Amino acid sequence: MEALVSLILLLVLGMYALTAASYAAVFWGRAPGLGRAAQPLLMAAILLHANALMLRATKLGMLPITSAGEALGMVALCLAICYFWIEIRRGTPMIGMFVVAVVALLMLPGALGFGTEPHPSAVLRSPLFAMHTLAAIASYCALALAAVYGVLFLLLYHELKLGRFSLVYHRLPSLDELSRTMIRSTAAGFTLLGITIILGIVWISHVFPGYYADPKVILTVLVWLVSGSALFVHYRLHRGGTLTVYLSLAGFGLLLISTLIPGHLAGSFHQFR
Amino acid sequence: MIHCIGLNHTTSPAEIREAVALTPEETEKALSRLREEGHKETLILATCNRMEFYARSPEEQPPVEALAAIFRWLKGVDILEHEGLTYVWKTADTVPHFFRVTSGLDSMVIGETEIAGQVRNAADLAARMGASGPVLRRMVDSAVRCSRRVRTETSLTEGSISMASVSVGLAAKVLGALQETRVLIVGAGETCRVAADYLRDAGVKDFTVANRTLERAGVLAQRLGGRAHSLEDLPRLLPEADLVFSATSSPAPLIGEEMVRQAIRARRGRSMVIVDLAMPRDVDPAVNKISNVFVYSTESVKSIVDDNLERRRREAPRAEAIVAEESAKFLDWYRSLAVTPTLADMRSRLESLRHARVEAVAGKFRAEDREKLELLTRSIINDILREPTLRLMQAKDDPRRGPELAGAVRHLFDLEKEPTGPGETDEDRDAR
Repeated sequence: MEALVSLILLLVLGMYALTAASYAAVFWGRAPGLGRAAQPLLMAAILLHANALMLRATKLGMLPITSAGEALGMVALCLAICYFWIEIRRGTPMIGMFVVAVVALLMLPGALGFGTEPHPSAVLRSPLFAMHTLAAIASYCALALAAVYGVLFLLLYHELKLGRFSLVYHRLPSLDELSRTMIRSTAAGFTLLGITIILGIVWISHVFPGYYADPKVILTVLVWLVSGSALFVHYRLHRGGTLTVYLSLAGFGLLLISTLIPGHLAGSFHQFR
Repeated sequence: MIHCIGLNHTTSPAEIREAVALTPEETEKALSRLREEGHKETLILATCNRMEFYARSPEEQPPVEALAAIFRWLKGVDILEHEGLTYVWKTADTVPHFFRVTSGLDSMVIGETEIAGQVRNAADLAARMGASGPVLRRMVDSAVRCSRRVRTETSLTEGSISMASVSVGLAAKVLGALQETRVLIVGAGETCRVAADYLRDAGVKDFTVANRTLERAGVLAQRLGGRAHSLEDLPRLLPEADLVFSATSSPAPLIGEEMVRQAIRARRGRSMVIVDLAMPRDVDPAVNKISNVFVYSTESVKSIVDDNLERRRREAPRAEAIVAEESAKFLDWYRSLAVTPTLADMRSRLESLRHARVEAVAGKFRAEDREKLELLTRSIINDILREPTLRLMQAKDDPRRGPELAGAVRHLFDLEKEPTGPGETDEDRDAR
């Protein structure tokens, strides 16, 4: 079963890559046939990805979210679903290339078998832990989406400032729309990450009492503070624009570091096992 | 034969085009007169850049004289004097030209889409005046369909190409939907008026106009349902504006860096777009250094216009290929018309000959043999017609051979002029 799931995940990774290429064709106005295939391909990839994760969940008897690779894979699925919904709602596929490329990148470690946990520890089979990780995944997804929109905001902002009008100008939505989506996603990510931290602390106090000096925990709190400062700058200081975006991007950058580096060094998502 | 006689922006100067430009009333009169003179299918396409006359007639020669008489009558102009400035084409050139025109490939601004509507209006007017017919109607439908294909399958019509609409597009790229945007217009001249019209079309409702003379500001403000101010109020008005559109003849900048910095502070950082179409500039270029302020001058707006035009030009070959395909389809259909009525005319000619001969000799036969005589002569005619009919039908879909054979048959059997084809009215047939 594990081999089958791994094979399906590799296939899903390929599908996401192909979907990103199809969206790139849309963005560059080339190969209209390939462009038309983008949305159906994305839907197929999402369904297959969800099936693969369900198969793994059936095998493990719990959600496959106990390792960095698996968590990022789950974030990738969540991000793909969010983008699919946005595209249907807004009716424009021009962001697809960027978002689906990030989806493929997030899937990469899990699909290649890095950072997966074939035999999760028994302490992780707790409903509180499941809620903690699900909230974390949702917050990662929101912050990843904010990061994509933030990068696009910066690209368009500089084009508009410099009066250079390349494809970015012609294809991307308005600066206002990019900014609003980024801020909403950051706000959602900030809220969900706050819930994640609280649930995590509650769970740790039950399972590993007194253990709060975990690097992952500290970095996550830092991500939460940076994301919060982005919102503070936007809503309280009324400094909308690039500063908010830079802070939001810094938050996502820290999030990636907090997910990959401690996991890589400690061989586990958190240092405690 | 489908003829086109016309002149356009590439063949004649504006003053000649103005001299022959027909008003809608004059176009109606021209269509009526042409119909009275026996031209069954006519269409007049009169736009600011072209005056084209399309006619379908059995004659080989284009009705240049008839048209010249109409222009003498309506405009007092002798178009024959401007022979070098006009074009006169027959079917093979007329049809692709009409499809190019309808698709915007022959327009002064390549890719403009209004022309398809103008073609449709010209066809509607011809129909109202009784000047419409099945062939030109189908030509219009096919050309409009072709223009739709060009619009959806190429980028020929994408991207704004006027300074005002590009400026509005720039503002929308920063601010998003413009419905709730507060617009400050600095100046009250033609450029501002055109830009304001575009903005109003884009959904803007909140206009403020500031001008050196309050009276002129009032005129434009009234037209837009906005407020009028003098230029002295600019520092007070600026913080309230999301979009500033400036085009005055002021010799020195009216909007400086410090004024905008204060405005942005008052706006709590909300983005502001300033479009400066004045020459010399109304806005200090240093304003663009301020965060969340986007300043566009004539040069930057023009660079988008040029870029869009260039992109349209690059798309032209793809559009031309669609036009070639669609006009060829129409021409195939049109040429196939020649075969069917030729067959009918040939049979009709032989049948009338047979009938006349039978009538002439009927008295020499017994009454009871009359039926046998009819049957015998009919079978002879059928035998004679079998092979020619078969060969003509085989050549029906061949755009070259079909009309060639049909023409030969018409010549050999003396079947008068070019057939009107299926879809012709009884009146057409009677006339022939």
